[in-house]
Amino acid sequence: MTPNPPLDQVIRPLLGDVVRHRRAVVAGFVVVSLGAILLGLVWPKVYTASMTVYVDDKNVVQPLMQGAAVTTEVGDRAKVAREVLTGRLFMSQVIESAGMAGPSTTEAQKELLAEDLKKRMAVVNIGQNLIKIEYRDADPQRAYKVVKRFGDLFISDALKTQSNEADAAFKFIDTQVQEYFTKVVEFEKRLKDLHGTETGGVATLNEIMTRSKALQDVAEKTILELKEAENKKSYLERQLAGESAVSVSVLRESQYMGRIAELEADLERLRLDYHDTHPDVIRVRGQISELRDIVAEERRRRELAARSGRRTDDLPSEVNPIYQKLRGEIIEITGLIETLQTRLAEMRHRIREDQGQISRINSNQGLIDEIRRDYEVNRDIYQDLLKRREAARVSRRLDQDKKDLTFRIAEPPVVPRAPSGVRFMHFALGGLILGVLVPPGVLLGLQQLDQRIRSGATIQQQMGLPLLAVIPHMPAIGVQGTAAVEWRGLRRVVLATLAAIAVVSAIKAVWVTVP
Amino acid sequence: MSKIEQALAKVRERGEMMRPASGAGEGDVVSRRPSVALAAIGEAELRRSRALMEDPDPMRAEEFTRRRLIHPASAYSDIGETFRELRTRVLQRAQDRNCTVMVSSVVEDPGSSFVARNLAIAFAFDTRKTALLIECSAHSDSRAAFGVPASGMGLTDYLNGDGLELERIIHAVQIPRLRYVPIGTQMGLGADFFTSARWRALLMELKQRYPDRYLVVDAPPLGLSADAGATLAECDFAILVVPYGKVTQAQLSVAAKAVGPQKLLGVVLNDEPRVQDLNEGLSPRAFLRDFLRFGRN
Repeated sequence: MTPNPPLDQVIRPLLGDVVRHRRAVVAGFVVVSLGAILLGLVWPKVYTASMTVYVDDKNVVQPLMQGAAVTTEVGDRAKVAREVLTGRLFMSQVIESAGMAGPSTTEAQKELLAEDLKKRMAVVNIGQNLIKIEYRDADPQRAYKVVKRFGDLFISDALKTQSNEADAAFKFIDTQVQEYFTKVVEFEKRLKDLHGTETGGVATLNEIMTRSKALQDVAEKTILELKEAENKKSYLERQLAGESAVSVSVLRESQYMGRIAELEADLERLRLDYHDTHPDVIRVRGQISELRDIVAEERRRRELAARSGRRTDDLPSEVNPIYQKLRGEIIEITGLIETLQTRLAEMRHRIREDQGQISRINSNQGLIDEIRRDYEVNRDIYQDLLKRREAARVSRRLDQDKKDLTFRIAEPPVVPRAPSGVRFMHFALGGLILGVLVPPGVLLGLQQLDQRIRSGATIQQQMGLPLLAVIPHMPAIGVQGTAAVEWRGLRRVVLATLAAIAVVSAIKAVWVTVP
Repeated sequence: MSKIEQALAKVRERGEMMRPASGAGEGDVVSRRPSVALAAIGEAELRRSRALMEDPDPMRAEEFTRRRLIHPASAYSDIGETFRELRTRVLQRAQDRNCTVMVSSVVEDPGSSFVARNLAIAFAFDTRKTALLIECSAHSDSRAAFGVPASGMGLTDYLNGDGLELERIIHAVQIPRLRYVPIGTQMGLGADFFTSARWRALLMELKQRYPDRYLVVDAPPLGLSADAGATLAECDFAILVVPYGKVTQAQLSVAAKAVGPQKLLGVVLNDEPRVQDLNEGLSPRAFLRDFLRFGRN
């Protein structure tokens, strides 16, 4: 029992069938290997011309500009290149320049030529930065021409495309910037309309309320100041009125009182020397009582004047300096009161306005919020776009100056000398290998289809029946020599086939070298 | 493993060694377990029966090979060895008493006759046994292999009931201790032969006449012929021959069910291609030898 029964169940029956159908297997080998040789003889020669284009996008500028500018992504260049090159425009140019089509060629024929061309060309990425353009043709000269033309077209187009790309990006962003600018302005205008025109701006409800509160505080303070000033003014006026009456009469009274005191002193002195009946004494006494009457009269008048408030005095005011001072203060305070009143009125007006605005805002709050959100979003985008536009501007300049990406021919095309692709030697070797592998492969395939019993293991393990013995084949003509003779015949057939292949290969090799 | 277990294993091993290997040799089979029948008849009787069947003119070894018959000296000794093993398996199952073994195929195939024939020869190579090959299949090629003419009287002639003597249909075939009963000349009459009581009686008599005689019945394919089913009832065991690459699993399992597990001794895969020929036939050495000889021819 082998350690690997499943393999044994495949390999051993396969070898068994190879032995069983040995003639067919050898015949298969002969047919396949000779067939491959014949195919190799008639197989057309193909010449391949190729060129390699170097696409350099890793230069000095890129790391410097990291983040500031977006370098143009070249992407899967081979794929793009293939799409570009197989376009109608390029195809017709290449067909004409390679001399495939003359003036008499019809459009339908050109279409067929282009299809053919597409099949024969290949564009592949080799490594990071290299693109290889290949073309196969029976004519080496033409293969060279086509590849060269393709390469030239590709490079010029790539440079143009790249520059266009950056330019288009800039233009796009610029348009967007303008669009968003209009939007932002529009939203600002609508917000102002909703808030009211004077306040301008786009103050929020909170801002307005804070402002209104501050205004009210100031107004209250102003009212207090105003009251204070008015009080002061009325006091001053009272002062002024009192001063005019009192000062003159008091002045006069005090003059009279002074005179009375002088006279009373004289009287005292006289009474020391004279009797009360002395004429001088009587005169002095007369003078004193006269003066006392005048003083009494003056007091009475003053009281009267104080009661009626009327200025009874006819003395000019200028004579009194206090009066002058009071008059000046009154004028001053009157001015202040007027100022305060004007200010208060202004403040009240503004407070009223703010109140109106607040009520407006309250009634339109939903709409305002919505517009405000749109406004803010648009404003952010607008600002972002502004930055991007600057980045795009730099990118465009990079591309315009060709500092960012360079295309150049890494390996120019040459006229191919030796044919490429599958050669005669490949056919000969491949034929031999296939000749050995194909017939057993066919047998294996047939065995898979034909599930008849070919192994004792099937009977014993898969079917669970007792296996008594496996009896090998006993040749019908039981002389051992006969089987050996048959095998020798088969070996000779194989050897003859190998010899034929060797001879044909040798002739072919000489044929190629001689002319 | 504990020491006790080791000791037990050792004892068991020794037991195996002391027990005679079953069916390994030719001589030890009889001596190991003498059956009741053998003891009753006696050794002298047996020797007489075998002496009767000694063929005065045995075939040469090359002739065996040419006729696709096994022989110890043949180039295909591996096939002979396989048949000897097959015989041992039969003896094990029969517990050394003589028996009737039916060899049948799943499909119409001369391979089953080949197996039946050579199994009978394998029995006959044992000098203590005799074998009788009874041919029930019209498609058998044993007559040609044994050189018996087509006109030779056989089983159908006997069963036809013309009062033919039994000795007339048992042919000697130049192989010691082997006798052969061909199908006979009356094949057109169909299945009636093998369902008759006469056929049953014949098998019984052939089996019981000599206790050292082993009967091999070359039967037609099971399931294709009613004869095979009827014959199976009279045989002790059946061997199913499966030709390489010609029988599906479904066919084989139907046939195996028809035999039943009691009587089915087992399956023989016949005619497996000789893969070793590939090593010799297509070896680089052989190619080189031929290549060198190529130039000389």
